Amino acid sequence: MLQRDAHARVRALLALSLLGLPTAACYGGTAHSPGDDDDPEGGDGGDTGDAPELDAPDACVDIDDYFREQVWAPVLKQKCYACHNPAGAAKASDLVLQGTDFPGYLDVNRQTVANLAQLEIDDTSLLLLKPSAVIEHGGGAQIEIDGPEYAALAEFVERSKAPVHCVDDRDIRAFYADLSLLDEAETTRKALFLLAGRMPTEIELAVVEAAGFEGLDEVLEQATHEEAFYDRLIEIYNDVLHTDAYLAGDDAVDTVDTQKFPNARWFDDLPEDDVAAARNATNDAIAREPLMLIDWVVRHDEPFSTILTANYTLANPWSARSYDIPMDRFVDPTDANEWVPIQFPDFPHAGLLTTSVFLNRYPTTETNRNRARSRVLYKFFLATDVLRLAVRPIDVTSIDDFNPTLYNPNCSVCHDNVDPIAGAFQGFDELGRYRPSDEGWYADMRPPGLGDAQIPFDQSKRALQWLAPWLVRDRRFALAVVHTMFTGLTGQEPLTEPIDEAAPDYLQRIGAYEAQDYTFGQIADAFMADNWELRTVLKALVKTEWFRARGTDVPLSDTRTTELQDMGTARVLSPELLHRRIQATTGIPWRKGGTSVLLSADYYRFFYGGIDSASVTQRLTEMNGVMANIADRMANEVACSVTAFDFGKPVADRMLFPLVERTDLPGTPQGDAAIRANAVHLHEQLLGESLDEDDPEIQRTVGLFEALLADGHARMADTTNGRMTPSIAAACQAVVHPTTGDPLPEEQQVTEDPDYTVRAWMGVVTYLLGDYRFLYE
Amino acid sequence: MDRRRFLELASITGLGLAGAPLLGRADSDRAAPPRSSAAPGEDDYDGPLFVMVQAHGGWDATLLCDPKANLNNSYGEGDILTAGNLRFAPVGGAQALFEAHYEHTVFINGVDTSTNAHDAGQRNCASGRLGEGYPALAAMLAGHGAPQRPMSFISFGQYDRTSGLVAPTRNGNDARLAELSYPDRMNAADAEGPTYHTETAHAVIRLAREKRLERTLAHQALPRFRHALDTLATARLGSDGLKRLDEVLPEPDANALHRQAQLVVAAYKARVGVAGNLFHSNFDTHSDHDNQQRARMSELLGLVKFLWDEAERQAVADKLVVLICSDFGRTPQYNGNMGKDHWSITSMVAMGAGVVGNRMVGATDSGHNARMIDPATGAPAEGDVAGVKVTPAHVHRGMRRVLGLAGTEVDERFPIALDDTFDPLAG
Repeated sequence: MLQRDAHARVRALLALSLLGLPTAACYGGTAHSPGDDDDPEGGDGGDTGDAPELDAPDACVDIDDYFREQVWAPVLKQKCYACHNPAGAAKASDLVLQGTDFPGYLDVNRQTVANLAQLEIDDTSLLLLKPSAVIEHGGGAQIEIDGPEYAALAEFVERSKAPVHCVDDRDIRAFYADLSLLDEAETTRKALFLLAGRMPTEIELAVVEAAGFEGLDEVLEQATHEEAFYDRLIEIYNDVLHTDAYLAGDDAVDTVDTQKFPNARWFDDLPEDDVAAARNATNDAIAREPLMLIDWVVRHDEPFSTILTANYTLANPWSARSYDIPMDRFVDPTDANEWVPIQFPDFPHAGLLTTSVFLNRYPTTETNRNRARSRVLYKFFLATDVLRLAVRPIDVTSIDDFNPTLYNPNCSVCHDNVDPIAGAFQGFDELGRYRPSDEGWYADMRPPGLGDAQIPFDQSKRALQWLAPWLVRDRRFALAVVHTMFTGLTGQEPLTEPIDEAAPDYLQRIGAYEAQDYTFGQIADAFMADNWELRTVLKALVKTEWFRARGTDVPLSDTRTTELQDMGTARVLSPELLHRRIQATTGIPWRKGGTSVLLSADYYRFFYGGIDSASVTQRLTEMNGVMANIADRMANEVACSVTAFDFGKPVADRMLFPLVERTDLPGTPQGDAAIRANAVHLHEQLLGESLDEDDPEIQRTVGLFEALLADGHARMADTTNGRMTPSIAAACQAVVHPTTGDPLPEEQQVTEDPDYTVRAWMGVVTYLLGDYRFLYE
Repeated sequence: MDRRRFLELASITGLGLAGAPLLGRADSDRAAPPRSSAAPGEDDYDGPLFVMVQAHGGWDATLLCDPKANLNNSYGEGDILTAGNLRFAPVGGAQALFEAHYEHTVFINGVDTSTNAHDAGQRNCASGRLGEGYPALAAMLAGHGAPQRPMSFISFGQYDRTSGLVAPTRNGNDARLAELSYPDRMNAADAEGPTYHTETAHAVIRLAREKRLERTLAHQALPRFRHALDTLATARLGSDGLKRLDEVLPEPDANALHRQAQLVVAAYKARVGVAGNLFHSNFDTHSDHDNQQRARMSELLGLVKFLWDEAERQAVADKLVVLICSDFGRTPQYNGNMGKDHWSITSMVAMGAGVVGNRMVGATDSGHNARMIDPATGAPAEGDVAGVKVTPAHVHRGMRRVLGLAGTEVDERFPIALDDTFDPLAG
């Protein structure tokens, strides 16, 4: 039954991969020409009826695919894994298989099994002799010699002697086949906003138009050296680390080891009037240490791996006083933006991992023994959620071992991974203070290290510093960076491998996961090959289908719809991003009394799904009724503030109305043309969509303008119910600058609206600011 | 606003000709049906108010509804309290809560969460499934009952996955809700004051947005985009309802935990909410267990008592259904720091309309190991009876029945797979 199901899955995968695409050629095996076995009939991915079998003579079967579909799923996972896992009864054998929670587990397992397949007795592989119990096998006979499992293993033995890898990534390409994507200009607009918080310039768009995605690389290279990008980078990584929780009060200062730095609270000795400002500046500097290290590394074009390997931390003049760093290190001892690398005496720095706020944000206890710190290191920097390991049901009644975390599989499934890195944090106590012990680490835990790399005893006092280079050379570090940047750009978590093979949508979900994992893996490899250059990741990510998908070229079957469940960016903007979009597109921020309302906890930050990094750490990604009302209020208030103000500017300076004047009315060729042209401009400026003048949406917007204008004219003429005045409401008049509050020059002031055009355009701007394309990315 | 209403408005204000392109263009589009046909404030949801209360970190059930003096240093056998048929540990607030509500309260003991991991435990507690992918029960009810309400599912944290059924709402500064209730007013507090646009202008802007959204939806096949568009339309559908919340929201309580309860109850009362997730943290007592755990437990029970009192005050107590649970339990024995570590056996407490109360079902032995249960009685299985192991899935299946979700589309979409029929909430 399992074998039949596996065949069905394979057939379905192949049918999907053949959806109008050329078949891959192979190396290591028989190559053939692309297009030889195109499926002219197409068909959807769920139709398995006429798809070729894996062993069809003209099909290229990748060794990885064969292993996954024919060996791992129906045989090893069902018959062997229960004992042959890192914590199982056969953990000391030559066959130790990794579970689904181990990134790249299939690659690792395939290599392990291939190695075992090469070992033979009397010309027969151990891979066949053991499970069939022809020779001694601790688990007895698991398969029959004439059964399908034996046949599958035997074929794998043969295939592994001359492994075939198909030349191209046809399954992956097939997965992306029918998507429609943002073009180069649209991709530029989206990427620039998400990375640098601004719209592209005309020159940048020209560069992209001329050179395509190579031009985009150039544009992004420049944009990712702008200040706004570094702000964004800090924002993205705070969404992971949440160390901004310490920005409040003097919480960050309290994390400093006062035995080592007795002047940590140096500001307490200042005159009373100066204490608060100095304390806040000092606290902000210490709270931002880990994030500023990330900023520093990228800003100075150092390998991104330095965030964990740096043998220094950062200080600005304010935190330097807490750390007793001489002020002559700084040009301006009051400049909070002047950061310098510093080293603490007798302290083994390991990048941001050894900053006091990181160690306190992720504390430990005497019994926890740094396991919590290990868990977050795995999650943040090794793309591994070790808690998923414990998702497997456990039987509490079976836990009666001495030291179960070491010896009981229910516990060791996690602890085998967690404990070695926990040991690397030795030397840092519950309060994050460096307190190395001469006695080494706990003997009843796995030895400190990572994988095969064990930390030598004589390096125990700098264990984390010793381990950091090993951590960053692990491919999972690169993958974690790709994941973090992907989530930062799109708001979406990377897909996780589905566990339940019996689920009806398993095949579709595994297909999506593999496509994404392959794509991100390629980027991770390029990142490592480029000496951990973060910009390589960003440039590659924005070109992927996961960033650029905007629709499909064909109607979707149910199967395909399930596959594409997570394709495309469609998140409601965070309060920070919406704040930036308002500023970038209209030229003014949304403020009340000088407060940026979307960023203020006193106003709408939390209602709009923002976080405080302490008690609220997950952003809302879906619009609710309260958020819809915030968006409505934003659209009304910003349109009110910006419309007359923009009309008052010289034409060359206008962001919203460069192609129309207040005197342009419908009904004349010039007026109609100007109104229509400016409607096109507004759609491009506010919504980032390039539409023709006869596009239905432009017709709709022009129709709206005319409807609003007619309403206003009717009210101005209505003598029965009281005429509407020609004056614009005071709050919406252009009298002072909306941002600075400074009075506007008289020639730029707009207070009267005799033709009602300002108010009608204000309605149009309200309409567009509340649009899906403005509120979402 | 429908076409007829718009045309009435248009004819009154002379917009017939000018507005025609809006309608003409939109009507020619292949419009997708809206998610809900309910107009703002006119939904007919009259079902339960469901509140999930979670103890974050893993509570010690033996300090609440599964009392075991032999496993605790803080009380003896003679200190154990009762209310009706309920027995519980002598922890602050328990007597007051259960004396008032024992008749519609059931303790479910010996619940096997099958995990020692916080995230998985919280997920199991809130969704009834150890694995990923299922919505929190509160989200499920809100998504089924009235997803268009602006605060249909209020979450204060913990596991609040919605699986796309409903958009969750977070709490912010309550004082701002008034100005958010009237986004068209320049001064939200001034009902007679100026608005940003005329009433007609607001209507046509809204109509234009709806039509554009419909057209976009009709031309979009990718599920994520469709869902986002659909969610935006749904959010706007109910956003007018916030005005009613302003009328029933009481003065904020000094206790921040209690304010959670105030908002969830008021939202239901105002017909803008359906369900909520409340939580209290710091139950992960690996050290100083007795002092820390008892204090947190007492505060948690105080929150539940306040929730019931507030529901009474707002006259919706007859609709209230509460499920109290935690990530997992604590080990039977103390560790070297007088703390207790993670233990996968725990308890859950269900209260409210539809719960057959004044009962304790499920059981653990003296070492706090789960016992197999006779599905017919809820008592430990004896003799030849094939017992069942109680899991969060059993409780959630019962809860779905109580909440009217059993057999519905969402129930079938997220099925609970159990081989038995044991319902701990039924008599």
